[in-house]
Amino acid sequence: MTEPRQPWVLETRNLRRCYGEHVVVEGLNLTVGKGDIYGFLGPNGAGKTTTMRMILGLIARDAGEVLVFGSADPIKARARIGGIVEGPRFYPYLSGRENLRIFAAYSGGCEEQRLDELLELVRLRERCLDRVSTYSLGMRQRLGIAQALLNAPDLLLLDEPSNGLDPKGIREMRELILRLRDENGLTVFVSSHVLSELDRLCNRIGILQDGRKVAEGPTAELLRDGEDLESAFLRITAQVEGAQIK
Amino acid sequence: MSDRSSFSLLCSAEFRKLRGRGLLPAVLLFGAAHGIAAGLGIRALELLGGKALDASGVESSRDLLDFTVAGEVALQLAAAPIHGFAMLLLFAILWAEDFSLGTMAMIVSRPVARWRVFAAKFTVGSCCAAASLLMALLTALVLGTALFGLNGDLSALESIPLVGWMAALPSLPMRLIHLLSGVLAGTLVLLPALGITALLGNLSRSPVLTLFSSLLILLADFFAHGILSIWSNSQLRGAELAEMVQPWTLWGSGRALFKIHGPWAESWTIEAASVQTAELVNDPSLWSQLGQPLLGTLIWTLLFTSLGLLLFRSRDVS
Repeated sequence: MTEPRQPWVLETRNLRRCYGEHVVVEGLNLTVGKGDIYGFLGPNGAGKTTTMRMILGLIARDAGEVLVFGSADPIKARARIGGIVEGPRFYPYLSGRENLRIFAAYSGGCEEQRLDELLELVRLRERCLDRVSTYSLGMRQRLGIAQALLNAPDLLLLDEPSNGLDPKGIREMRELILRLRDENGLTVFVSSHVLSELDRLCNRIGILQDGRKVAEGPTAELLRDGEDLESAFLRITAQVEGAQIK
Repeated sequence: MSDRSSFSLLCSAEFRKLRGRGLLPAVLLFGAAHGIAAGLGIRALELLGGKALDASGVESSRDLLDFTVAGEVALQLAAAPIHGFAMLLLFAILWAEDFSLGTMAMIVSRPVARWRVFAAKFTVGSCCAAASLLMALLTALVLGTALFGLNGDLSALESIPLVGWMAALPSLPMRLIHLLSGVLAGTLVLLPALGITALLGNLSRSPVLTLFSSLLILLADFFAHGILSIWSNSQLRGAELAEMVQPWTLWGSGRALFKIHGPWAESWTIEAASVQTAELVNDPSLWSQLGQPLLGTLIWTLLFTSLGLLLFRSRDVS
C-alpha cells in the first residue's frame, strides 16, 4: 500500500469520544496527506460527524490528539482549517456578503476584495446583497464553502457537502472541490453518503464503523477488480460485521 | 500564530448582528422614547401645576425647571422595569441566538478563543445598555432645552423625590456631570442582568427560554428583597440578619447604586469641596452609599458572568 507524503496535513491519534456510556469514537488514527481529497465513509452513527466536530474543536475529546501540520494547538490548527459540519448555518436576516463579513471577523478580518473573489469563486457575486433567507439550499452550501475559505485554509473539512442538492448542484459542488484542490492546492477531507460522488472525487478513503477505523488507503487500492466504491464499502463493512458476529 | 482576531473585530461582528436584526436601532429609539416621555411628561405636569396655581389665585412667575430636570427624569424612567425588559430581550438574543441559529458552530470552528467571543458579547451588551441610557438622557436634554430653557430656579424641587438633589447643586456643569454618572450607574445596574442572561443563554441556548428564565430570577430576587425588607422592619427573630442581607440582593444593591448620582453625589460634592479626600474615604456613608452597592453589583455580575463563561468554554457546540 502506497502511503501519502509526510508530514501529514491532518493526523488524529487515538481519538476517543463517549456520550455517557456509549462510545462513539474509539482509538481513531487517521492520516491525511497534502493535496489529498480524503473521503471519510461510514454507516449512519459510525462517528464521522463526531470525529469532524472534534477536529474543528466544536466538541471536546475524551482522549487522543488532533495534529494539523504537526501542531496540536487548537487555535493554530483552526487557522489552517476551513470547515462545515452538518450543513452551513447563517444569519438569515443578513445578506450573503454581510454574513461573510461577520465570519471573517472571527478569523482576523478580510479585505473586501477577498470577499469579492470568494463570492466569484462560488458564483454568488450577483446575489451577494440578497438576504440569505432567499437563498436555495445549493446557494447556501456554496456560501458555506466561501465561508470556510475566508481564512485561506490549507485544509477544507466538508461534512455531507452534497446533502439536499439536486444533480446539477452535486456536479457543481464536485467541480468546485476539484478546482480548489487543483488551483489552490487545498487538501480536502470530505464525508458523504453519496458514494458515487466520492468515487469520482477522492484519491484516498477512510472507512469508519462503530467508531473504529476499519480501512484506510488510496482509493485504487481499496477497490478490487472492477469494483466501485459502493461495492467496496459494503464488502468491507459486511466483513467487519461478520467478524464481530463470529 | 496566536489568536488571529482583534477584539474590536469581534465586537464589530456582534454589532453587525444586532444591527442586522434591527435591535441596535430599536434600542436607541427606545432610549430616545424615554427622553421624549420625560420631557413631555414633566411639561404636562408643569402645565397642570400652573393651572392649579392660577385657580388658587397664587401668582407664579418663577421658571421652576430647566433642561437638566428633564434629563434626570429620563434617567429615572430608563431605570424602570420597562426599559430593563427591553435590555433583557436584547441580552437574551445576544447570548442565545447564535446557538438557536446554529451559527455558533461556525464561529467556534474559526481560529478564535472562545473566551474572546464571550468577552466581545459582554462588551457589546454593556455598550448597548450605556448607549440606550445615553440616548434617553441626550433626547431629554435636547427636548428639555426646547421646553424649559437652560436656566431654572431649581430650589423649589428640594422636597420632590428623585430630583430633589438637583436643588442643592447650583452649578450647571456639576449637574451635567452627575447626569452622566447616572448613565454610568444605570449601565452598572444592568450588568448583573447581562451576566444572568450570559449564564442562562449558554445553559438553555434558546433566546425565549433565556428571556423568561432571566425574568424569573430577577422577579425572585425582587420578592426576596421585599420579604427581607418586611422582615428587617419586624420584631421577628433574625430581623438584624435580614437587615444585613437585604442590601446585598440584586435589587437592593442595584437600587442603591443607581442613587449614587443623585443624593449621594450631592453629599459627595459638597463634602469634597470642603474636606480632604482622606476624610471622605473615612466617611461611613461612603461605604453604605457607594462601596456596598457597587461591590454587591459587581459580585453578582462576576458570579453570573463567570458561570456563563465556564459553560461557554466547556460545553460542546453542535
